[in-house]
Amino acid sequence: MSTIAAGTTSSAALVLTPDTTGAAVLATNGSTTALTITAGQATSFAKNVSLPAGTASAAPFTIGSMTQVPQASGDFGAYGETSSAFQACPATSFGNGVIPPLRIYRTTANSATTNWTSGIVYSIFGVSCNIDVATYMIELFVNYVKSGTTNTFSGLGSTTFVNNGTSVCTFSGISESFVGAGTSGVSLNAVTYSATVSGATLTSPGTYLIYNPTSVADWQGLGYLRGVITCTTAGTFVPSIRAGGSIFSPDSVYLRTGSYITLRRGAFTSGTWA
Amino acid sequence: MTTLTATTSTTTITGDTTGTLVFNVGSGPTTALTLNTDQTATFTSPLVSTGTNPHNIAAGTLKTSPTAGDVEYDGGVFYATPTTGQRAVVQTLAQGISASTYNGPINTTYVKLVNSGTNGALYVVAGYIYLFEVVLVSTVNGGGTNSRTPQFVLVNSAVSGAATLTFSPFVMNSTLYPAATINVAPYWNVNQQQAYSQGSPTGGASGNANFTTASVSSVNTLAMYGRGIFQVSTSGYFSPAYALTNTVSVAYQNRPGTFFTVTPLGYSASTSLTIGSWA
Repeated sequence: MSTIAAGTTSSAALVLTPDTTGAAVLATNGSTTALTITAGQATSFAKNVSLPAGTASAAPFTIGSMTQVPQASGDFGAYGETSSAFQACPATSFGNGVIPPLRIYRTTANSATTNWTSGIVYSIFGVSCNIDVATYMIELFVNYVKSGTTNTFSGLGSTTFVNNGTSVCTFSGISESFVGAGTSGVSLNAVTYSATVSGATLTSPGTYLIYNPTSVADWQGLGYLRGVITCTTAGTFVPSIRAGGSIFSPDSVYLRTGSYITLRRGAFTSGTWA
Repeated sequence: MTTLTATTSTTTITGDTTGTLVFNVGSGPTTALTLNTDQTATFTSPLVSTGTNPHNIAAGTLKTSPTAGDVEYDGGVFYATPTTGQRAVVQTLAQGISASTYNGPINTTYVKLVNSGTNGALYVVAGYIYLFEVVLVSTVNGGGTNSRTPQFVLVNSAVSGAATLTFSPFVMNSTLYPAATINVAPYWNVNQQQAYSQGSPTGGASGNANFTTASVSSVNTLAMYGRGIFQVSTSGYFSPAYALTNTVSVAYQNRPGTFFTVTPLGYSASTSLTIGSWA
């Protein structure tokens, strides 16, 4: 293939190494950036472009943020002025579409067992992430299991979802809770709207995640939450529950493997609305 | 434009005065540009004027055997292949999300589901198969104890040029809450999960593609969650909306966080759609 390489002297800025294969390669002389498209200029990929593998210090390619949303079929880019979201346009009349920038944390093993005390906040996953002032789509699935049958409990119906981090957020949307008690099992839903889900000292209920039909010794709770979180103060986001009831020794509770949370930044209007 | 062309005998640079740089291949190769290993490309294109295209992939034919790292566009949707042979659609969501409270229905007149655009109507394109997702949270602001039946409608005539859609069976899940017990257990009142299937609703009033909850007295909060697939046969506007089956004294209040999203999954003449390696 023909190679166009950066030279080593000012008098030989470009080194051309032609051959007969008919393909062109850009090569640098020490730099890790082979090609830069200057600001304000568009790129069009009408033929195949092959990019190198990423390294620990460099992604294969980086797209700068734009102030013009993708608007014609095939357009793509990072629209960064207000949303910092990648967008693409599948069809001109469709308008701009958001490429969901998902953040996910999923458990791959059962958590350690713990006891719950009513009113105390517990981190669901034991992790936090930083969020900034923006709107996020959230999806949360938790599967809690009560271990041990010595003690019954009550009051878990007011177990809520809260953020125990330093960020301040408001949740709007819907949550559903399902619980199986023994072999009978029941299926029920819960919902709230515009509930503040910030802080361990939250005094008003947040979003219910768990329903407790009765005092039972053997219990498993499935909670699902879907909606929008609006962050008004940047900081850490610690998905947590505020126990509505107590599960005390020798019994305990643990989070089953497969529980997960996703956060997708960029809950703004996209597409063509009228 | 200035053209860098790999030829059979020499690498040529052809200059002109238009200021555009183009990479051409000679006969044979289909790859116009390759960057050497450990080198990156930086596309810094803060395009500032409306009407100027950002980065663009020309529509083409999908590879017969996609390999890991491929990004493709066939004129319908974008694809990415995370592992060889596992091509998948890159979701490009059109979404409307209500940021503030606004009046919902008070009677049988349909009201837009989300506060996006004047009419809350989203343009959808013929030939596409879309995945949709909806969350609606609405409350009655104040008194009113009349029995009412909220009715969710997927298409209406709020905007001229309504789309023609065919829905696959989908599920709506709704929950209604008494005012006095919201956020206080027992916090459920009525829950209804309903599968819905209707072909080619064309918009209009009730009787089209709708989902009706149970009728409940003294309802305070209505919450709905739905997810399903539809196909568009005629391009036009799609107006998710809802109404009540009877008049009540105080209008519903649509809450912030209510949203409606669609994702084009593919472009097909039939309702059959396969993405990924299925066997």
